[in-house]
Amino acid sequence: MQTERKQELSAYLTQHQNAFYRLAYSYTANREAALDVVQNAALKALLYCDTLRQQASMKTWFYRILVNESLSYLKKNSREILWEMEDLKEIPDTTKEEWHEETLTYAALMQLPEEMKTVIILRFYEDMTLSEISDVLGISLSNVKYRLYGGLKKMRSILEMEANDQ
Amino acid sequence: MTEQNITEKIKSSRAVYEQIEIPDALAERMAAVLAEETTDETESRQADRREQTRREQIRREQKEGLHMKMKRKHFWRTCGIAAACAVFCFTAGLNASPAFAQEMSKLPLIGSISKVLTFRVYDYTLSEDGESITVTMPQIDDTAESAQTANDAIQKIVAEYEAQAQEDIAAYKEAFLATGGTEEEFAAKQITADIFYDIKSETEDRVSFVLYAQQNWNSSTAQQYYYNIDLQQDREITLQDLLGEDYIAIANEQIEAAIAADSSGLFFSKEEGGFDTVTDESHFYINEAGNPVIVFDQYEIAAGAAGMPEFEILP
Repeated sequence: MQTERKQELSAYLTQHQNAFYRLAYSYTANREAALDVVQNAALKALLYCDTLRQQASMKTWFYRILVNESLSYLKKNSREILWEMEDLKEIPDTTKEEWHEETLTYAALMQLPEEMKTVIILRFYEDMTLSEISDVLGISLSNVKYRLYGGLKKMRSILEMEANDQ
Repeated sequence: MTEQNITEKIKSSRAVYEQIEIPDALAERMAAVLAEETTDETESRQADRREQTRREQIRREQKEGLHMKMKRKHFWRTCGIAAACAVFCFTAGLNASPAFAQEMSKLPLIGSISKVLTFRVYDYTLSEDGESITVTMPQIDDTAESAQTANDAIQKIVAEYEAQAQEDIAAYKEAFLATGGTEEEFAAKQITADIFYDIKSETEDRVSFVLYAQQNWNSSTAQQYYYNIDLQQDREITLQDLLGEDYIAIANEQIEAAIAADSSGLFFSKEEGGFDTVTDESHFYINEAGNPVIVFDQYEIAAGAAGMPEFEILP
């Protein structure tokens, strides 16, 4: 039974590793750090596999580990990560002119406080429902929404500010 | 830029996110982790286990704390609103400990603690993993009569909106099912009604906040209520208080200038039913700088894409 679950987890981790990396990279803005974060999260997941009850919750359960791991990386390294346009160099194609708008939006998202950033990434980039996000973060649904609305508002003002600067 | 607008922007920026280059090392390291799982316990995992024990300890402690919180929430729920009003100073708001918060706010040095507190938080679903309603209800923690009037109004608004939202959602669901939709499809829509608030600014004797009530499937059900209260003088703050005698002329002039300077083309002209004049009924909140910010409803003076236009008015 236990090995069966472990196998399921292994398959899940392998299948979605790219998504995990992108999420981790969104926090660390650094290739090596993102690799470490994903690796540690996977290690922990396998180690604590027994605490996972139903297969259905594997996704939110693992994302919880991954987000926590990313945040604790930031805390340990306690450096303010300021996203600049050059951090996007690991993202090919962003230099193209027609990508300008999307890149600006992405860069604005990266500037949000972690708690708001997380909710928006999970909602719009990872297609999670609000209740899944509430499971991942271990916070109430209304708190998820509060962070979501707050994040959207903040992004709006960042983008508007940038538009005015130009 | 509207909320709709910004979510569209974020959705299209997903392409950038998906372009993040995946290093080859990722697959290698993941494979290593998964392979290692079959070998003996390594040192690093022993360390992890120690951490696990420590975390469990913390979790247990938190759980006990949580239990206390749950109990309190329950107590409030069973309490009638009138009774809840009477013992209002025990807000369930500052979640950790209301008694503590109360004590804190008495201390002059830490008096900056918010006067607008979350009085009740609750959410529930209307059908299994489907439609939900979330409520975060504020109340003003002050004995001023104007604060009590606002509190009563808020409680009434919340109760009415909640009931209306249940009806709206039920009617929508019925129509959806009657036209060939399934329960699952409806549940997948994740219909919600939300009531929450936003503190715009606060000083020792003045609070300004907005209560929002909205349903995510129908923006025309969205409502906002603005509260600007002078607790010292125990009354609502008016535009005249902030801008002086000529408040209408001052506000009109600045709003007209802002609309004229706008290049989005979303604002209606006067002939199309656009901005005419500020009145005593105009909605506003007070920002951190202490200036009034006049807010118009969606569609009131501009196309829907403009959202709810806001204008900060300088005295």
